[in-house]
Amino acid sequence: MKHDIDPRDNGDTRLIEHFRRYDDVAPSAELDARILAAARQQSSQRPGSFWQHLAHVVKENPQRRAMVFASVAVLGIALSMTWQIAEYDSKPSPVIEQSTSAPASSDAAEYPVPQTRSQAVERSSNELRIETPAIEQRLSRPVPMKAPAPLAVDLASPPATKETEKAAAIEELKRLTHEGKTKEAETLRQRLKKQHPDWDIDEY
Amino acid sequence: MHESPAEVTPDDEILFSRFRAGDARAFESLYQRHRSGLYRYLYGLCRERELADELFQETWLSLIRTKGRPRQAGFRSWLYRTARNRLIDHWRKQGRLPSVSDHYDERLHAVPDNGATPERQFEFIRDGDRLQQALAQLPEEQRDVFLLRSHGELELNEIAELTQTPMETVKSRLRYAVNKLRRLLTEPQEVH
Repeated sequence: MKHDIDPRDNGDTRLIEHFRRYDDVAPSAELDARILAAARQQSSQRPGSFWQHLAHVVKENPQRRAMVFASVAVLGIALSMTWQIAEYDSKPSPVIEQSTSAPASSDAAEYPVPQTRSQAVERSSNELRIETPAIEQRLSRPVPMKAPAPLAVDLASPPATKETEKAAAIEELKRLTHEGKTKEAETLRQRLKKQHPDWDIDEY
Repeated sequence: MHESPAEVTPDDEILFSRFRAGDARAFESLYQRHRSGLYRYLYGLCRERELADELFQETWLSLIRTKGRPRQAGFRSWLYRTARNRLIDHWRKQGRLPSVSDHYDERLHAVPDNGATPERQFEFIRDGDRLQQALAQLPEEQRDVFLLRSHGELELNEIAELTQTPMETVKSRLRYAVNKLRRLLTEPQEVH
């Protein structure tokens, strides 16, 4: 068997091409089939192999089917619980809500007036609603300071304050007497005497 | 099975990626593109049909099962490197050392070949057995380079990288291999 040559060819490339063309060694059909079958099997196992396997199990085996459904149910419950916990954590704490809103509220809030059912529902729904900006606003609002409760024994009051109080009381007595309100003046005098036995206020 | 033309798109790397994604047809295209070249390379080197079959199958199966991807060298170099390494491993297990020197043969065939001049035209023998016989007469390292160039269709720099040989050595081996094969496979032809 012979092959006509191209006189323009320098020989090297032509010889290489000649080998590519006339080297007739090739793998057998059986070898081709084995390799291609292996490739098909491998590719069928690659993407979605888990789901394919799962579908096969569910279809063929009733016991495993029950296990699969149970697993899915447990997974669903676990996810639901996780979701609920996450939601709960994201809500503001009731203690914080009360402590932040209490100082800003009026006396009426401390002693709430009776309200209708619809008002109560509306108020509770508003309290349950998560409104982060509202919470931030409440937290940033200045908290009014309450006056401290009076001490049972007025040991801390300075003398100047006591004198001022006495002077104010005497002035009030004088005013009542001057206006002819003798009864009110006498009542005040008796009360002051009771509170301050050391005060000499009979002359006013 | 028919060979796909070399210019068929998509690239080997894309086909391999598709196969890795589960597309078996991508592998068939890849296999058709390289099956003959790879088999001829292996058979040309080892000269045993049974061993060529075994190495050929092992190479493709390792590629099918691998989780890796071809690096910058590309799929073709990766494929031939895998096949070549398996053959070398086999030889080592057999206690056979690869040929280390073919200087004598290179010097013998370093004479310029005037066989392709228009005045003295030659034609190459087409018979497959004769081709194999001529290949068998090449020193192993020359045969390796020639087969990577002819059947692997690798560029010289790719062959140098794959065989871990300097580029000039690769060029030299290829030149000597071609000269010897030309001498072995040409017959005088009458000029009309």
